[in-house]
Amino acid sequence: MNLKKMIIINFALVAVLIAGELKDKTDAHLRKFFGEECVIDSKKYIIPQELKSKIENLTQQRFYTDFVFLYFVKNNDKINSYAILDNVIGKVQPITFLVIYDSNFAISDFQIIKYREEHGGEVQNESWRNQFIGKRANSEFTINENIDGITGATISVKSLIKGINKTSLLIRSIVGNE
Amino acid sequence: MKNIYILFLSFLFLLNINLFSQDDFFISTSKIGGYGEVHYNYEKPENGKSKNVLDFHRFVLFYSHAWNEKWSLKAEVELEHNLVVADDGELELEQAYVNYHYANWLGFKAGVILVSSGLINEFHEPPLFLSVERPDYHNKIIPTTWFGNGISVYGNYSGFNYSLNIMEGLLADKFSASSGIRNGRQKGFKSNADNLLYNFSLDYTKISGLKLGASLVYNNSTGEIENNAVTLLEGHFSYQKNGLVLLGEFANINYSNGEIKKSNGFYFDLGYDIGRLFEIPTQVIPFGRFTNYNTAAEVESVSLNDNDFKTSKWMFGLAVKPIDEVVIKIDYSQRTFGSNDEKTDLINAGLGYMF
Repeated sequence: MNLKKMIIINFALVAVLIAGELKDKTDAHLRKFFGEECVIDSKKYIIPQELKSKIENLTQQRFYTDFVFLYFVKNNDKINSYAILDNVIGKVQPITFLVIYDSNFAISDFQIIKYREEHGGEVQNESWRNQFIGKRANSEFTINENIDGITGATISVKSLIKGINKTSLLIRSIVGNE
Repeated sequence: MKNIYILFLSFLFLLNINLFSQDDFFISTSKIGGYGEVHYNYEKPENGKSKNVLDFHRFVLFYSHAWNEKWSLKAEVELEHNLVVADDGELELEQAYVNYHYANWLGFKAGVILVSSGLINEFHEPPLFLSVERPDYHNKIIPTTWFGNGISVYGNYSGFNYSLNIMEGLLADKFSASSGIRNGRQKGFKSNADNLLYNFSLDYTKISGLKLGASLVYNNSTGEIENNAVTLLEGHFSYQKNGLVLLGEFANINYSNGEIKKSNGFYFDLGYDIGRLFEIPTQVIPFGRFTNYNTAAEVESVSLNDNDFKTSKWMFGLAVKPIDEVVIKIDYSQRTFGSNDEKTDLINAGLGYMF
């Protein structure tokens, strides 16, 4: 391989990675969950200021930024699931997570797309994540009551619970007009 | 030559893709956290005068900054006993390290780091343990908070957390029959680095609520005349689920030289959040603890006996958490110490927080 080719490949590789490791992982997960034949629409959703403040007040946690990524999953031409990709802050790094909702806004899956901290990685364990399945919002998940705490992951656990509360309220507001 | 230079630059660029691949979903953040605890301690020996102490034991500020999603700084400054005068009180940089988190399975740290040994040394915020004071075991056997200058490689793979730390060692001449290795810690102060300390730990955390692990610390501790190689082998488990708190730890330290040949100990905690029975959000955890330790469990000395420092202790207490980050605690314990089985009653009360 000549030098020019190698340089071009180097830069091209960078360009592909910039295109979004997070989005690729999210897409891959949604396809794994819903099957290859499903149709996925996604958009960057900018949260209206008023709604943002309202949800932040209710959950006592700020949004990581003023947008989230919103996914609509269609099977047989009908939208039957939604998903939100958002970040919460752990000890200091963001935790990127995906929550999938059924048409009644109950959680059908919860995934950590990227974890960047030294401690607290246990939140990625399936046994912990699965506790959220079937739940809706707020009162249905409370640490130590129906969601287990994790020794050494207190901050990540608390932050994610609030984060899922936020996305649960958000999806109902956006899609359910609540 | 120019081409080689461009190729080199493009490789550098490739190496730095992490900086660019964060897309717009990363914001550089700084965060302040901390914890603290204020204690009341009452002590009444069988044949002696009672003692009452009020102490703002620890005030800790935690500062962290993420430059990007791989590089961050974590630092913890601690003020102990509220004031630093002469030999009293302590002001310490308990953690201060640069962290490079390559992926879940591999990360690096360098700076002032913590030894990975036992349940509490790395996770020592007051709401995370039940008693007012940290368990005696974490003072006498594992010298919590055990920190120093060093480097660390760590990771998490398939439910296993592992870490290998190489750091400043202990000073052998400061070991004692009453405190084991505790006073040998250098705490990052112009540390003697003649003999480094090696620490490996492994934890299994895949089952929700369970933590099961072990660790090894080896250090050929530096002495003025003679070194003293210490080997600390420790095991621990913690199961916290559905309101139940069940945990235990045990450790043994072997010494190659000196009067003391072994220090060892264990403790168990059993508690249950009765707040759940009344469906109240406040956690109300009555608990019991049994601990047994001996900083000089095996000695080779004319003046010391194996039983001189043996200690056992029963404790009953209550930890109340109105919110997860605030805990109010009270406990009563009876300590039996030494070859004459001297008994001491202790009552502690305290308030702790973390954020």
